[in-house]
Amino acid sequence: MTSTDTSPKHADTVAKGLSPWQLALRRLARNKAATFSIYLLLAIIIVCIVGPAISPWELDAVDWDHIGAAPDLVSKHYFGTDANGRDLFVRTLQGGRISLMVGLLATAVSFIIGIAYGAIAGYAGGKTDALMMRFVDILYALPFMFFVILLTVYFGRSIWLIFIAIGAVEWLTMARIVRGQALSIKQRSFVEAAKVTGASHSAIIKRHIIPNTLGPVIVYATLTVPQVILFESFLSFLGLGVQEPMTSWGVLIAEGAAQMESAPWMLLFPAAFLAVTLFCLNFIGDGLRDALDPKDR
Amino acid sequence: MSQLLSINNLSVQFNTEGGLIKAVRGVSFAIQAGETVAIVGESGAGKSQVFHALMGLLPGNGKAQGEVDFFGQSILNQPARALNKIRGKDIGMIFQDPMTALNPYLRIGAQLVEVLMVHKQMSKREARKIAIDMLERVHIKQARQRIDSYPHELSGGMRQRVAIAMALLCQPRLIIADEPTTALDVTVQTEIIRLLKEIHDTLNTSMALITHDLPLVAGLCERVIVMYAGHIVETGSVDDIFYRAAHPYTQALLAATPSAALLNKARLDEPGDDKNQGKRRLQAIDGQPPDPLNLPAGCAFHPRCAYADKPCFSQEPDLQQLASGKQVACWHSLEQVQS
Repeated sequence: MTSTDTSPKHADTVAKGLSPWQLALRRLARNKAATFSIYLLLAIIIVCIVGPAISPWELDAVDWDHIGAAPDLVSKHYFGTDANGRDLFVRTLQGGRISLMVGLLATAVSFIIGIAYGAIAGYAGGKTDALMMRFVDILYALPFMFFVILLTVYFGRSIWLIFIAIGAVEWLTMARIVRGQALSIKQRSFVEAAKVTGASHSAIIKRHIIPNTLGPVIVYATLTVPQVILFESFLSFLGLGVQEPMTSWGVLIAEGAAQMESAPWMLLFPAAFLAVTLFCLNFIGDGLRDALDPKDR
Repeated sequence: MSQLLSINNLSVQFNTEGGLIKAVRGVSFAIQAGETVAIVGESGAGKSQVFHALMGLLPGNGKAQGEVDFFGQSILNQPARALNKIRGKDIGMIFQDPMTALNPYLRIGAQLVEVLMVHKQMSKREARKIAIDMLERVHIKQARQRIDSYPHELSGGMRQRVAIAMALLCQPRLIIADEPTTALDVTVQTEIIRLLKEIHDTLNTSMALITHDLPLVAGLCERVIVMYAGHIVETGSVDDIFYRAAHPYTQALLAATPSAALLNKARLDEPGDDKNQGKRRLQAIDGQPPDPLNLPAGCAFHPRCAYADKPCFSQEPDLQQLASGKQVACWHSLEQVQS
């Protein structure tokens, strides 16, 4: 794309400035690995959304003629079928929807809670900070698996439970990162300057503390998404995750791993999707880190 | 002149792991309406802490005691909600480092407009107009376009101008400038000082200039307060301090300042006295500023003072009136006057 917004510059006018965010985006656009990853990830997301619609097969429809069949274009089982005769193409993409949704939503939830909690704790400092962070430490100390098993025993298996369980754990690290940032940012003189111009505490947190913590936090968030996807896969692998006939990449990989020797495609396709997605997210995270902190290259 | 700010027996202490640091120890002075006062001293003399205390900027381990009266209102140790009615509106503050004084993620316009919207309940459009006027007033060219710039697009001097504009927006009665030129290079320093002087002359705001740079003070201020180790050691008019410094510390400070040394030379260069011609050397003050955790007994300056003798070792001198408007805290300068 060519930029169309470059108006002619006169010697006595000041070019409209770019915000630090826009500058970071430009630097990100120059990072080839990150840009490629963004497009690839977008492609995966689009395929996961529209893919199941173009296949004639349903998520839970059993094709009695092709049970455990290898990939085949004629029967329109592009990725083959699983041990129960269900189409793997549809199931992989459906599983992708769940995995990506869990990854993005749980990260978004932990992002919002973590930023709010961490910024308040760091800005308040002193006893409030100590109290809030000890609470985080206590939650940290809870054994995660035990927590999830307890939840599933009480409420049964459901996708929402996974959101809650993962969200409840992931925001803790986010809160710690933001709190550390807030502690250092509140020493900078623009926060003092805001104080002496009579800005209220909430205005200072919203306008000055949080935007300045966002850089490292966004990087951490992009690296949290793959972590959450892996978490979900792990839970599903153990049988604590999504429920049949719904599926996720973790479930498919678990099933595929069991048939690895006789029907490798059952493992190969979901595993490839998962691996490529994780790679993309990691590259994007790295690219963002470089773009947001140009001094650190 | 009416009294704008009066500080009475103000102390600031910090509770640190090493012990109790007494940064300010019983300081009293007043600033009249329209007056410019310089507070001078080495790093660690407590000069900034006086103003941080009255603006409610002390960190959590800091404690301030005493009385601070601003325009008939006690402002020391007030909750933030009460202080916010005064901060920014009646008292503006300028900080040392213009590089971090502005939020990098906000356009400077947004930061300026915010102040006006908080204090004057203006609409965004009105506030923007006033912000542009104020930027023009601090001599920022193309203020109408510059207002949409981000801080990283401005030079250090321009950022300090923006910071000054921000402090001036609500036309405060008092401006506190905490080493406003320390982080800038010399030519920009002069510009900023000229700007501050111009603002004082046109708006008739009172100004408290915190600095360690004596020559800076000469052109801008009417009165000088010299602080050492949390105490006021001498106060007087600019001429009193520059030409008739009574306290050995003030004298040493002047001897250690390049342009003040030249100034003294000009005064010493009587006809026929060509020994001194161009040969005057800068003199460093011997020794180190005192350890705030372990202040010397008696006069805090005595370990570095050439005149120190008996009373200096055991008893701390109080501020004494030396002449009209001139006070000094030193056993020896008192003797000089008495004899």
